[in-house]
Amino acid sequence: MRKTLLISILLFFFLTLLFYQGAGSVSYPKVILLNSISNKYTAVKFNHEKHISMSGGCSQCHHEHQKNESLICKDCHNLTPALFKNSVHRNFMACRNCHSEFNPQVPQMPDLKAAYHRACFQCHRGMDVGIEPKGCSGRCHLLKTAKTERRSP
Amino acid sequence: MKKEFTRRDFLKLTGALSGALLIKPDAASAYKEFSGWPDAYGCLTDLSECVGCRSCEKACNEANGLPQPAIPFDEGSVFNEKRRPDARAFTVVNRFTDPRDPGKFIYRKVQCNHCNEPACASACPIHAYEKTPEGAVLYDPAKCFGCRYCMIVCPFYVPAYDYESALEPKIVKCIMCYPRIKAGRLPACVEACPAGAITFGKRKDLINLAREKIMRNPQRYVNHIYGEHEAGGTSWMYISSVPFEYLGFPTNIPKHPLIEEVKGFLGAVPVVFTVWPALFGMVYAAVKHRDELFKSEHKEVKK
Repeated sequence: MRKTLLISILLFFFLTLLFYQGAGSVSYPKVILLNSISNKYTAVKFNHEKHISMSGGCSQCHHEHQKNESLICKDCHNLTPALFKNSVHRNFMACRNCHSEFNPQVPQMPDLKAAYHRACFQCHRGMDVGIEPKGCSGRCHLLKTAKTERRSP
Repeated sequence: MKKEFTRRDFLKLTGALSGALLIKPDAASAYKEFSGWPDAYGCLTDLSECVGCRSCEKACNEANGLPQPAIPFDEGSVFNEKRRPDARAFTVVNRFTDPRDPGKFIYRKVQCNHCNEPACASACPIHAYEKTPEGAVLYDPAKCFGCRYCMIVCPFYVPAYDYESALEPKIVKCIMCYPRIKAGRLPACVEACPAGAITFGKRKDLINLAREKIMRNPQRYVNHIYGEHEAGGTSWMYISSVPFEYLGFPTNIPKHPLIEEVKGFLGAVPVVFTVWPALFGMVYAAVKHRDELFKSEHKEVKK
């Protein structure tokens, strides 16, 4: 009895260490070009590194296993927290893999545009979004014109 | 001696008969439990997500081929006054001060709420309105003759009159982009919203979604789905972070369709105008006939 307890404590300790190291060795992208839905605006240069230092952790924008979210993906992909974390850190899933076009059959899942904007608006609302309607092109977006078309990648 | 049929007797008889006839219209209210088409679509506006960018207004303008507004869509001064939908804009966004923090704003999108049992359709004398099984309330300008009863009766002040053309009067309002819905697309405003503040779906799914959102974030939302019961339920519903009266929502709307306020009376009108004349005419004829008989008998006796 005591032996099993000892083994399980040790196992837990090592596993935690392993995953902690795993998390530490992840290389985060520094600047991301958000261009998957750039039909009207030029691609948004998103300074990921800067936002990591300011945010309260990855889960503020990304889905994380310890958050008790009710996600429809969990209906099928009911992973254990460890497995989830491992898979996410090894092979990052792009937002658009799930957040694609809005489907009225699954109204709780926002489309890519809404998912992006909601992540931004949690902090930027009141800073420059939602004060004046033209906040959009002031900070993040550049309207696509003949000039910007040539400059954009 | 035979008793004369007095005025009092006449009133007693007709009163009793008409009273019996008035019971009938109550049977007409048996269908009052109609709670909308079962598979009707709708929209859920989460007012806590709206940032007031007016993309919905712009998309609506383009989708319906409306004229360019006097104040451009990226101009903030438009919020200085509270607007309502009109012939040039089927949806408008108004700005309200957050009652919890006067430095912050809350935005409210206004458009037709597409009632389950629309008062406009009930009031329209020539059935120019139609509540489709898809949820949208449509209006047929070919039938309209411009009485504007719908404008008076709408509890949300939505239908507007097109004053642009004096010869072809027509009422204008949001039709939930019915042609787009039929083609499997989203309403233009829903598609345009960058914040995903408007969710399109089956009305019953949206109610579940709204409940879930409120349940998961009780500190973020007030526990009220506006439109779930208002005016008997509407296809367009709202959830908000502040009580709805702060955002200019009419909160004195009954929980039943507005037609029920007048259904009893309107049901009695045909009875009064058809049965009463026939009935009273018959009673009058019978009484007159009897009096004539009585008089002629007397005359014969005198002779």
